[in-house]
Amino acid sequence: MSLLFPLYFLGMLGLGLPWLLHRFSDQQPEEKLFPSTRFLDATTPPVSRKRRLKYLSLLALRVLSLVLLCFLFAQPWFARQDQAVPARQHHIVAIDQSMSMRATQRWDSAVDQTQALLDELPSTDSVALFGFDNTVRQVASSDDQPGAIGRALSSMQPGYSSADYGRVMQLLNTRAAEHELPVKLWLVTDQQRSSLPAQLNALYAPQVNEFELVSVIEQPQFNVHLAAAAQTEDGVNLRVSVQLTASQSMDSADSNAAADESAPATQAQPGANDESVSVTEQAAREVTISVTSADQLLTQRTTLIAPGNLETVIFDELILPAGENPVLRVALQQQDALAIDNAVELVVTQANPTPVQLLQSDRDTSANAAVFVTTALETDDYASVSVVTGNSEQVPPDTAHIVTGRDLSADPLALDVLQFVDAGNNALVFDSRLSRSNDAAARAPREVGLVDQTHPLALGDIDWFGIRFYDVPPLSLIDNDRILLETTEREPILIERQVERGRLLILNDRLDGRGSNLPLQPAFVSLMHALLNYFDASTALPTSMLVGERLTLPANVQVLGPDEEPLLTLDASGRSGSLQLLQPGLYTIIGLRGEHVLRVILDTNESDLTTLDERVTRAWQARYDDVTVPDTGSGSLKLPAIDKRLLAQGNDNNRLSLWQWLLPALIMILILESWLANRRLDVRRDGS
Amino acid sequence: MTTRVANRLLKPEVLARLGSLDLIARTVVDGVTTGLHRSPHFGFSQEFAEYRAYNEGDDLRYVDWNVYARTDRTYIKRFQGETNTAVTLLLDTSASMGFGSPVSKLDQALFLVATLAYTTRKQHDSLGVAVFDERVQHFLAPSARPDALVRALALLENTHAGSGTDILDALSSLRASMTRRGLVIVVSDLYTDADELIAALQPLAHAGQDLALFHVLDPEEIEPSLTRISALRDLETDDTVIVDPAFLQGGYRTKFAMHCANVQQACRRIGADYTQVLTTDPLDAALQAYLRFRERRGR
Repeated sequence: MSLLFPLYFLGMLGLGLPWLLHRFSDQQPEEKLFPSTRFLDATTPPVSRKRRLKYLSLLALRVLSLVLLCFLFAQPWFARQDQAVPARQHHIVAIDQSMSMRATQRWDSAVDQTQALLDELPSTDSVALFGFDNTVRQVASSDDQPGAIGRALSSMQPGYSSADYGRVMQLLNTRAAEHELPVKLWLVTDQQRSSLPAQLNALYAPQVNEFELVSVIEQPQFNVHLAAAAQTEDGVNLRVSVQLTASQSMDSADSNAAADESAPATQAQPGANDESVSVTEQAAREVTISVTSADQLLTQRTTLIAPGNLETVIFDELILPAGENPVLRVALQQQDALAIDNAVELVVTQANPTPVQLLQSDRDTSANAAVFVTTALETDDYASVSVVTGNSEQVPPDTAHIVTGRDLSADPLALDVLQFVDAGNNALVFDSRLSRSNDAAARAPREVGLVDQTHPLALGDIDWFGIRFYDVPPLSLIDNDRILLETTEREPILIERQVERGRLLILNDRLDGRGSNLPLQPAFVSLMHALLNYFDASTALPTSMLVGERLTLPANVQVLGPDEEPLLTLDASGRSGSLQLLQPGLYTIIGLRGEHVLRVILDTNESDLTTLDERVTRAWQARYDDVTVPDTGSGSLKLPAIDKRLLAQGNDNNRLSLWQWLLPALIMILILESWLANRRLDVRRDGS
Repeated sequence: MTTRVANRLLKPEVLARLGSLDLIARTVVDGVTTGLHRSPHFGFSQEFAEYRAYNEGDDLRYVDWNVYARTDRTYIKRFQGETNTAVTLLLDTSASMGFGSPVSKLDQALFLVATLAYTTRKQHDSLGVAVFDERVQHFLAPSARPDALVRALALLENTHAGSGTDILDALSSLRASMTRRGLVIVVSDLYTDADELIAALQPLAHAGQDLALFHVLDPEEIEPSLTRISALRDLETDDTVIVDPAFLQGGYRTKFAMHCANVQQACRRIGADYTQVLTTDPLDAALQAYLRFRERRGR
């Protein structure tokens, strides 16, 4: 017999309590008042054999109930008689299909090891084969046709997405919960450090009984990730920025040695750079970057980069190649472990400021306001402001953003602005009323109070220090108005009003520099740029996205993939929706506003081939083994023994728990004790 | 209906809730059908009894001059007396009287003494009250003054259980104060030997006092219901005796019954009336016993 919680046997110390109670009761009869003891004969408490037996039986029952209670808490269990027969298990074999598995020999090693693993599994066990990156996909299972798993394994290929061990473990935990059999999880992966979750507790899957990490790393591998961007400001000169990130993986032997050497000496955070670098630090390697256009070499440069380093190379002496939307190819000349991230294609973008129309329709509008707004928007060529006199019906047809001053006390707000916004455009409306009094400055200034930091405008990032409001115009809010900024006296300054389409922001300030110093402060430039970004996000298509992300598309567009094949069916292109971008490269989005080139790039983190520290993998593995894990520094990977025991008791069919019998026995004994103690009033429950 | 209500009111636990002894006494007396009884002693009242020849020394005020005019002889006119008896109520307030639940023996005794006092004054008798434990604590000499009842009730209201009992000493000290013949009524739990009781009461009987004893007891002390070994502490001496419930259900009851019989026999020997009153008994029975006692003594 074994005990899950032997410490509960300390409760046996309480066995002395009933003995004391019984002994105490014999010595101290209850005292009562009586009118006279004249006719009483003193009596020695009778100690007859019958009475002693009666007390002893009660004492024995009480002691027995305490012993049973201790046993119940200690949870004894026996191994089943048929333990010799190996129990059936359900195996979940999950293969890493992230982009890093494309590195040299990794995928082949994964397939070979998985095949060998599947061959060794008992035929009585059930198996399910999964592929994973940042999500999991069941590929085949033993419930399918014979040989389905082998065929599925041979057809699997690594993808372009990045892996997330934490998310994968939780998803596999859900799958494991669907099985009544004990579940063993085999994770075939390259143990990439960048795939670790922020919270290491996410690596624990409580529904999994056994876990084994199968490494596909066979030798140290060096990789350089290349990212680049090209830009022209004048349509002639070209500037190409290249960013190189180098990494190196360790093979198992190296990592074990590294862990053994550094484990006793350091308690560093797992995943920290200094651990792997300290043992894998190698000489910097020479890499050559070439920039070509239409197979014509424009320039090339050689630089040195060491694993773990980031190197930026800028080519700013280039001339933009002739032709419409020229495509540049930036590539590394040397081969490394992961070839897919060695070259990128770029579309040269021209730095065009966003067009904004400033409507001057209200005669009350301060002349200063136009100057302040224009200056702020055109800072750093962020936007080009055109002044239009009249209302929003006079703006050019392709105008998407307007800034205008209106009487904010009017209800409803200017109808032409509302119509403009309802057409899917964006507007910023500030107050156009003249200052109510000349002595506004005499009033106590108010500072910025509450800032809505949850809004995409990210107003919390702006430094509002020094902003003073002297005269905030009264403003009547309507339902669903969202106050984004207000003064310390809760006067609303910036409000977003809900509209059907587009975006409408109301700035409750005259922007004349008298009611407040807002337009005179640097924060106003930041605010205008943030507003423009927010406006632009609602109408503009992105220029760059990570592989694996979903692109939200309006109706009536078609998307051409990197191989220029249309990705949307005719039906899908007619309505709005989203498209997951599974391949890196240049995508072309064709819509009513013309063509838009979208660059889908690889995740830099996924190109980082640095492997997990051995102590982390051991701690990860140890959560499912009955071994003592040295403290890894995070402390979060240590599984309390109590959890493991509970887990074992709940799921291990080889164990026969005794609590089902102990509990009824305890109840019976307590009932018997109660009956015996109450049968005669002179033998009460308190033992007296 | 009236009788039934009265009987219910006479229960000790009901009386205890009335609070005032005056009210308790009125309730008890009014609840019992009472008739005036004759005084055992002749006095000078309105009800004619007999004539006798004038002897030298008789008070000339009582000579019937009409008879003298018709017969030329002097006769003294005698009347049946009704209000000239002195009634002295002796209440034991020893600590043992504090026993009993829900109404203690002392409470029941107080109710009884108050009731007797009220009855006494209703019959225009002189009323005296003595409260004693080891010695006489308070004594109100018999008096026929109108405020005698009020004073007696005030004394009883402030009476609490005291310490031990010494009925011999207490009655000895009272004997000198009770020169006038009358009724002496002792209300006590009589935790004393029969011989000692005789020694205490006999001088009173010899002095011409008519004696009546009300033996107040609680059922729990007659037949204790304890079922487990207990340490019983004496209310008067604080002595503790560990007693087996088997003894309480056997030997003790026999001893106590013998004690009661001895006390009763002692009373008979000295010509005293003996009445046992339980704390659970309605007081009408005790009051009627008292009235019967008065009747007997009146004949």
